[in-house]
Amino acid sequence: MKIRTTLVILAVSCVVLAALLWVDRTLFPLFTGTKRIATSQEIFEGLRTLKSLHTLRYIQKVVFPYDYLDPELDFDVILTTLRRGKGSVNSLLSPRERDYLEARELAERIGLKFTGRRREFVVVTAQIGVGIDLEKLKIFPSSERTIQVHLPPPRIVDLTIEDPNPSTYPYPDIPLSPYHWKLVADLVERKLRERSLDASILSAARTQVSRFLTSLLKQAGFLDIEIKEDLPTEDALRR
Amino acid sequence: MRRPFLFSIMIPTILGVLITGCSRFSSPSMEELSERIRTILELPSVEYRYREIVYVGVEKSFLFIPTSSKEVLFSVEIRVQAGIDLQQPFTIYRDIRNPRKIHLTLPPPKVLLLDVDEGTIRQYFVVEQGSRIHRMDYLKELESAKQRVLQDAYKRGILGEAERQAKTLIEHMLFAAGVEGVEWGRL
Repeated sequence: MKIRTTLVILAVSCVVLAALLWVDRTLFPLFTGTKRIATSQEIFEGLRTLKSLHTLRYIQKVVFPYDYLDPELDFDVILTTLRRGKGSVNSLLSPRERDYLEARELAERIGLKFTGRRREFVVVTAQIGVGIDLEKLKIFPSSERTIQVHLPPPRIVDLTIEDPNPSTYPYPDIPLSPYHWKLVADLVERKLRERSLDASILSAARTQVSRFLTSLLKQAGFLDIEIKEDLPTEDALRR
Repeated sequence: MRRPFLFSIMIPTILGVLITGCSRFSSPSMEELSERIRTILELPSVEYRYREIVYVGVEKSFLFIPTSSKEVLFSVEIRVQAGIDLQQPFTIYRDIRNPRKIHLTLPPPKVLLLDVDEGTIRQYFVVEQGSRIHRMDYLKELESAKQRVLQDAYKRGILGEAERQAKTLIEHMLFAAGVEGVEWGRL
């Protein structure tokens, strides 16, 4: 008799509990429209679509050749180092010295007057998109309300050299053939890709991304959000 | 026999109510949703950074003979931020037929900040022959550089980007709050 009673109690308890849970999951939201907490997977999928939305746009104008002619460097010293040293240019010269050498050689080749009284220069506009690689974004929800996000370091997502518009070019015009312009634009693009971005630009991009993610995750119902940044590597800062 | 049966109903009911009750938030009201939208819109949503180049070149001559010339070339960082203007009100109401659908009208986006960071000025060269460069010479050019940058930001679509981003964030918030559809209008 006792075994039978216990079995009946257990069976009825299970049925009532199952019924309550079913009502809660299926029917209750239809009447109340309760707030739904998005799952980490949903948030992650949502973030994937936002790649182009939260990158910092940096419109950088470069003055050729002056941006590469560091006044602290001496051209004769660079030439002497090359003449006396053994090995490749890359092994003998520092990145700043290589920039100087390349820019000076190109400026002379295209006939720019960049010393003395007359100073000629070309302004090249580059549009740089700075952002984070969402494929490397890691999300660790530790509970329903707590989440930890590991951000990859910001990097150059896209880089475009813009063609100058004669009506909006507010600098002195200089004689330059299309081929010479292309040589200058190619050098500027290559140097921009080689060099790491300015710290303030990276910091602004990082702040933007963190602010955006925090806002998004708060709206998704998380109360405790911790955003950590993975340490940048030299390569990560470049394209 | 009656008492155990009563327990078998009561215990799972109490358990069930505790489990389901603790895991749920109340449905957000329109006031609450409005407040959340306001919080989102308080963030300036899009920022463009510019490294602008400013050139000042003045040459004076008398009877075709140059008497003085001054030239200066420098770079400066300029920030442009855009977002939704919260000085103007936005409207939000539920659809009459479908309470899970929201009609939302936002004020137009605008540029919220245009800032020249004079601490970032880097001078490339200065040429002064016969006269010197005065502060007013380059301040005037700096002001026109600011306007040039502002026009450029408009041309690149900073306002559209700010609006799109605000809408994306608001939609994420509303969908997470159980809203199934958002109908956008413009003030």
